[in-house]
Amino acid sequence: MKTIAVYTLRQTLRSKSMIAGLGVSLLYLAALPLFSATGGGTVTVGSAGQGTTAAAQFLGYALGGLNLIGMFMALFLTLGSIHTDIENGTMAMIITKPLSRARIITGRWAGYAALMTGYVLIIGLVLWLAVVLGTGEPFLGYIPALALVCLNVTTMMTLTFAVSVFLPAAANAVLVFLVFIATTNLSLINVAGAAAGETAETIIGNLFRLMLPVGVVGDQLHSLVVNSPGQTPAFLVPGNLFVAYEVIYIAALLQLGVRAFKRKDLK
Amino acid sequence: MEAAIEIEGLTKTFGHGPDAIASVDHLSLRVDKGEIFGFLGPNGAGKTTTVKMLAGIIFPTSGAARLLGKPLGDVATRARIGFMPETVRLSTFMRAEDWLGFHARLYGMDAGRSRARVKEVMARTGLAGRAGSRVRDFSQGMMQRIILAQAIINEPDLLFLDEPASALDPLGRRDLREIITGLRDRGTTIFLNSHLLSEVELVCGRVGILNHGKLIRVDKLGDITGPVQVVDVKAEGISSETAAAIRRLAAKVEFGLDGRFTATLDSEEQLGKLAEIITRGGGALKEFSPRRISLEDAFLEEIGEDGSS
Repeated sequence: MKTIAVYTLRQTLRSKSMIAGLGVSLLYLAALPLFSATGGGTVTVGSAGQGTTAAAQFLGYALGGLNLIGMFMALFLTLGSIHTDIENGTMAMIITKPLSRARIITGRWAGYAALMTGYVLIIGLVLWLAVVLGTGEPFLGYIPALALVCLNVTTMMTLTFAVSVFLPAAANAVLVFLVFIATTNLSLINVAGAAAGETAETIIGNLFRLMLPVGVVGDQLHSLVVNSPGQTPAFLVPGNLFVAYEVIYIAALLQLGVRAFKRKDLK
Repeated sequence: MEAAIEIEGLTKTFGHGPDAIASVDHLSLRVDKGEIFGFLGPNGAGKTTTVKMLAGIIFPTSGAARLLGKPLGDVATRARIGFMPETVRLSTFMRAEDWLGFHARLYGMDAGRSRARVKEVMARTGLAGRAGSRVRDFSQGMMQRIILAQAIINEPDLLFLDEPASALDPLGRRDLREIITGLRDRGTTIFLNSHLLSEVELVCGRVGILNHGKLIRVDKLGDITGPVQVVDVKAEGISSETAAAIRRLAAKVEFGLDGRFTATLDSEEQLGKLAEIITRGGGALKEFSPRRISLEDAFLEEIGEDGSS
């Protein structure tokens, strides 16, 4: 399984999608101070109060952007993953080796997960260090928020990866995009319900959000960073049911991919 | 003799209901250990489907098979099996030696053993100087060589080759023949699926002919191609008596110019008698070329010229 994971990692690092994603990430990092300036906040070195709040907001926005870029990168990297391997015959050679089909799929997934987690952690920690060194504030709430970004990116990656067992890249993209749009829009019922004080609408809206739970956890990023500079980090926000649900969601998707692949006739 | 491959009623159907097509239809076959078995058939006969079922790439609709004494799908047995697929277009960025190292590690080899085997198979498949080249930049022929290399990296006891020579040049085909016979000499069983009948003829001991998913004949190569029946001769100084004796011996004789003639004989034993008649009659033999029915002729006869057998 480790061999497959390392192979996946090495392959993906050289892919055009990865290079394009890294390019976008660098542009985003370079442009971040501009967004911060237009948002009215400035990072004040060594100060507290207003400067610290602005820095926390900056980190919150930056992490929100990283969350989005990370999810799209994960999507593009894994869209054709298994399907392409099957089509070009690579999988036929791997599958005839003394490895179970479940280990092959899990190994591929682990490679992508390691790559995307590594990407988010590196970019996220660079951002954090820059702000921490600039302000002298630890912004410890940022750490669990960064862990949530890793979780979100892994969720999106697992969804497209699992679907790639069934569908080619284009169909996979359409399906995942539709799920994303449907979840985002239908979950607005939740907002409307909350505004009107209607419990039923709130519950229905939340149920739609469960189709792709990245939005639910994503919502917590900003509040975690902005509201808790200097607080003790609460890793993975214990007691948060949505986080637990997202972890189960990933496990269930991976299991779905494994089961489908175990019965699949390859090319 | 112990069996390397035992197939019993293997069937693969594609589609459902009235549109279902049996690509392989109740195939039963046995290949002994150490054999080079040629698997022949026209396009769409079900050869590749059969190999894919045996290699575990697709699942049979019904029937069963055992490889090296273990049922299909036994993961541990795959450590002793090699598989070379028919058409693969590798798009990997990896260097040839890294890509082969990856396949060696999939067989559970440690780093040292993997390095040694990669070096060995690269030399054996004519890729010695290409260790650092990117696989995606390889020509089709080089691609076929490296795919063969991954199939033999574990020194398999059973090797499936699906059209292994289709993209190889004459030099590559010669190398392939040497690899195949070398593996046979160390006891490897080889299941060779090929359109190139001339290649099959050179290395296989036994062949099976598949048509429309059904196995229509399995026999030793010599029994399929049959004994020598026709001989081309060039001789000088053949008298009319000698010519008459040749006519009496052969079922059919066609005399040409410059002492050339073609004789059709009833048995291979008559070859010696024919040569004796010519030399005893005072003739000088310049050429004596027995002709065997080629595998291609035998194959076409079995499946019918239009594949309609």
